[in-house]
Amino acid sequence: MQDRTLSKTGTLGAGLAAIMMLAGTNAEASSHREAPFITENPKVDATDFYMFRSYEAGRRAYVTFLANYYPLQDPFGGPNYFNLDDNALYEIHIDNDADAVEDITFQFQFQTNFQNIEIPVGTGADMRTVSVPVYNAGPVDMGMTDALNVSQTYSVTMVEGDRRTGTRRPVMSTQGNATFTKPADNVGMKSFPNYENYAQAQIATIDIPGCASPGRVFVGQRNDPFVVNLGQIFDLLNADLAALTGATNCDAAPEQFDDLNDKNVTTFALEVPIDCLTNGTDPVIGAWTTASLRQARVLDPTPTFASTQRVGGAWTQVSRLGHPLVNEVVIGLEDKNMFNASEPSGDTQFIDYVTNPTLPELVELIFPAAGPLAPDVFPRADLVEVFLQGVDGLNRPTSANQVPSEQLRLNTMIEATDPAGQSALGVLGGDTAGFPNGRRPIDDVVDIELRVLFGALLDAGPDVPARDVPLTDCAPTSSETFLNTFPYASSPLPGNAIRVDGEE
Amino acid sequence: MKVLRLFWLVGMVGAMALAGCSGDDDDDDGMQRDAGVTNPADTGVRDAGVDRDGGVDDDGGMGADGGMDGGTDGGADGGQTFSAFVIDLIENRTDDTSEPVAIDGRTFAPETDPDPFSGLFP
Repeated sequence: MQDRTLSKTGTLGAGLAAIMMLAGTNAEASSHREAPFITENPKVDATDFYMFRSYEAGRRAYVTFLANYYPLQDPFGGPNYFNLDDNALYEIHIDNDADAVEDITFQFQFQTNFQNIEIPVGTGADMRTVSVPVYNAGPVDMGMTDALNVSQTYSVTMVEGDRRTGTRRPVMSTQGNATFTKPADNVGMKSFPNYENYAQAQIATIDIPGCASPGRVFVGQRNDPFVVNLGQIFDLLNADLAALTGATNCDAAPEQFDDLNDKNVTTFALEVPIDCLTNGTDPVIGAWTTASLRQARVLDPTPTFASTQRVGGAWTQVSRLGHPLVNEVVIGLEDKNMFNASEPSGDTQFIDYVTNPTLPELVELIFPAAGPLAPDVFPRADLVEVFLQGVDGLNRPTSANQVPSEQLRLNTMIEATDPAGQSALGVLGGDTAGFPNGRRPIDDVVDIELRVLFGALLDAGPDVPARDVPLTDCAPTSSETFLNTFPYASSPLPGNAIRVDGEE
Repeated sequence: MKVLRLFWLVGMVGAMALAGCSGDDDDDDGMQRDAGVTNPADTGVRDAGVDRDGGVDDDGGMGADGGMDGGTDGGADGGQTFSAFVIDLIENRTDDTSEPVAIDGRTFAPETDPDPFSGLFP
């Protein structure tokens, strides 16, 4: 592995490097395995959530939501790969009146379809027809899926009002279908010689109840766009420390810092007309994604493919994600499970974590020789504004009765920026169509939030020693992991990259 | 950056008020957080009988209350068994509108059926 020693040394430099690496690791993992309980349920582990004005040509009147689930997928993870949970409820919630309660919810539920491909084995009287052990028994392509042994379909429901008791209506394709197909995972180039063509054929145009214009939906495996130096970071920052005070100090290629460089994830992509999301008076919407499981589960002592357990009871939320980083570097370990089960309306219970963040202090404890680094300004009203209210003049709802809560917020009046002009630093880079005004794939939320966490929004002074340091984790977002058209996330890495003709 | 700082300055007072911050007031240590852990009503967690639908205790029409409420879920001496609790959840509360049943602090009576869940797998 390439040496990651950086070019600058020194006490302050070491401390800043530590800041970068600690925060950067958790941050760029965003929400991968961030809470103890969710590690037991990877299929319902929300990893990242995006919301932005669509910047695909001809789609500027839409908002796109991307909710990523099921982290750390090794592309070669056969023979069962990464189906979503038939017994889960995946949701995207929208609050359009700033009361911290959802007004619109899109629900996704999956069904696994098992073909049970059998082949004859033996001859004559000894011949038996036997079930094959693999995911696919031959190549799969657009319109040629008979060889798929396992596949998944899903339905989408729109709920207006309370997510459980509100008005429920099915989302149908414009062809009148209530069921959509999730493309199978990318087993490899022999199984899927034209994977992206096959996958993109499953992008569906949908009629959304109450909307004059159709939207689009896609659920499928994608290349995880996030980067993280997991190994060194969680080994007590076990790296050569130096100043990571600016991108020019990084002495290795970004992929050298990225332990997720070879991982896939599963993306829920939903495109909805703006007019169908706002309440007609306030252009700001808030949104978050959740996943829920049935409260009870009993394992089947004689399991089959179709029956491994009985589940039942009410939907019980086990994953929640709005802003990146919140349940990673803001919420304390003792409350991470609780945060995942909570709703925005109850976020005052977590207020201490926002007003008195622990991460900067933790870095100082680990590297005492570095001297003061964390802002000594409390309570951190700047973080309250960013995480719980929306930035005044940018994406704060107009309602005088706003209930502060952790949601990703988007001012839908701000036009999308063309891909060529987008700044990875979002608003900090002068691009108000980016994070924290919603979030796009290009937005380097690690660098942005890191700088904010260490005082970028506070007044200059001796109490904010790292305020003007252009902190970076040396792992910028990569255009290779996202597209400029729906579903915006790139094709997943194949389980095997060798084509039939032997070329990679 | 400068624009954001200005926003912050303008919004700081309002932010503090809305978020219930009180400066360095030690009385706020662990405030709602502590209370919320033990009282679902303060947590924002969807839970049974809290604030959404009148609660589990009011929905006798679901046919699910036998053994779940009525004070039988607080102790192991003659109270509800775990299997009865789970089977009731599965058979009577599997729908789109129910709220989860709180289990914090609940204890259960010993099982008497040697294979209590067999009926779930006919």
